[in-house]
Amino acid sequence: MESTFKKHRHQESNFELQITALIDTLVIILIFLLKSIATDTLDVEQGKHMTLPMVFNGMTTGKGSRLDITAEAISWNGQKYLDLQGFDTKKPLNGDDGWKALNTAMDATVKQEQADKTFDGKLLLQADKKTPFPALQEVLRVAKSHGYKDIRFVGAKYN
Amino acid sequence: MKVFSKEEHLDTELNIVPIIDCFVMLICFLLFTAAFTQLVFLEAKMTSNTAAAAQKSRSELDQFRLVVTFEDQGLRLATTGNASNKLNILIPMGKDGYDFKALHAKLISLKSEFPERYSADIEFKMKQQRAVDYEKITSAIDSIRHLSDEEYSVLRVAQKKVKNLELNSTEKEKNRARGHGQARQEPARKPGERERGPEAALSRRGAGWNRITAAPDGLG
Repeated sequence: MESTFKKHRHQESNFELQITALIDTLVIILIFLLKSIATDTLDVEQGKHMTLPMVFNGMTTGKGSRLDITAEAISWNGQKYLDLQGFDTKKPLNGDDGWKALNTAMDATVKQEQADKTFDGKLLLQADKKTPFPALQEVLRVAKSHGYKDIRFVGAKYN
Repeated sequence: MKVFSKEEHLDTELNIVPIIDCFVMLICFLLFTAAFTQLVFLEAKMTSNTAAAAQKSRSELDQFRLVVTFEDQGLRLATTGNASNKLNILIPMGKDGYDFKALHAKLISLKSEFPERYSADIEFKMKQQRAVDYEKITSAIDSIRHLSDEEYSVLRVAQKKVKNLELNSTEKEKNRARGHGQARQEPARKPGERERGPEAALSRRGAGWNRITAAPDGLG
């Protein structure tokens, strides 16, 4: 009995965990992640359910009110106002109420920014790359009527 | 009194478990917060139909006006004004629709003729309006706005014709060091390497047609 116990103790003392390879891998992943982080991204979240067009050049810093257009919805500053079906802005699923709500929201934003003296007429437009021209035209017309004149077309940069 | 001998073995063990914990947590954090897609924006002003704005821009537009028009047959590039040679060309559709590379090439040669003009207007005159989408509009602005892109590297040669380019002191110094006016073989650049020298100043500043006005409501 005593001899068996001694044998076990001897085996434990020889155990060694080789983690050098693991640390190497972790360091490489860490460097990769640090390198791939875009440090100067635009101060805007990418809209959901949309594929942005790829662009080769563009500005990376800037602010503005955010208008998102997807096949299913139009959102203003992240809040959905119009329910669409296949980019059909003429007949939104929530009817004229959607347009009224969007207009009211835009108006409230403009008034708020004007009161804060931060309104500069800049609009960050994010749209699915397949958004047809008539839908853009309709939305831009509404934005223009509220005083947004500098349109910033958001895209994803080619790397 | 205990005396340490020189040959005494110091049994040390480096405990790296906490640092591995930190690494793992850091990687999780980076994975969650990383933005792998870099968002950029292309700026275009909307046309202004107020009388005051029209009056303000009239003097410049009287001299030179560059208009890129989306048409059913292709992209039309036209210049008007006293300072320009009248240009009105249609860039026909390519295999994949509008030929933005051809537009880019035309704009580069036009820029070499008018290096001090920056304004360009985009108009839309198509019967089939659904043929143009957001992607095509951004492609048009992208190819108008910047005259030097990696994918258009073959067209960079045209930029060297640009005259009267305003250089900063560093670029002037470089220009002097290179010996301007002398024919000199450009060293071959490695793939991905940035273009250097004064002829690259244009691209570094994005000094293409960068005052773009869009008329999506047909007011242009």
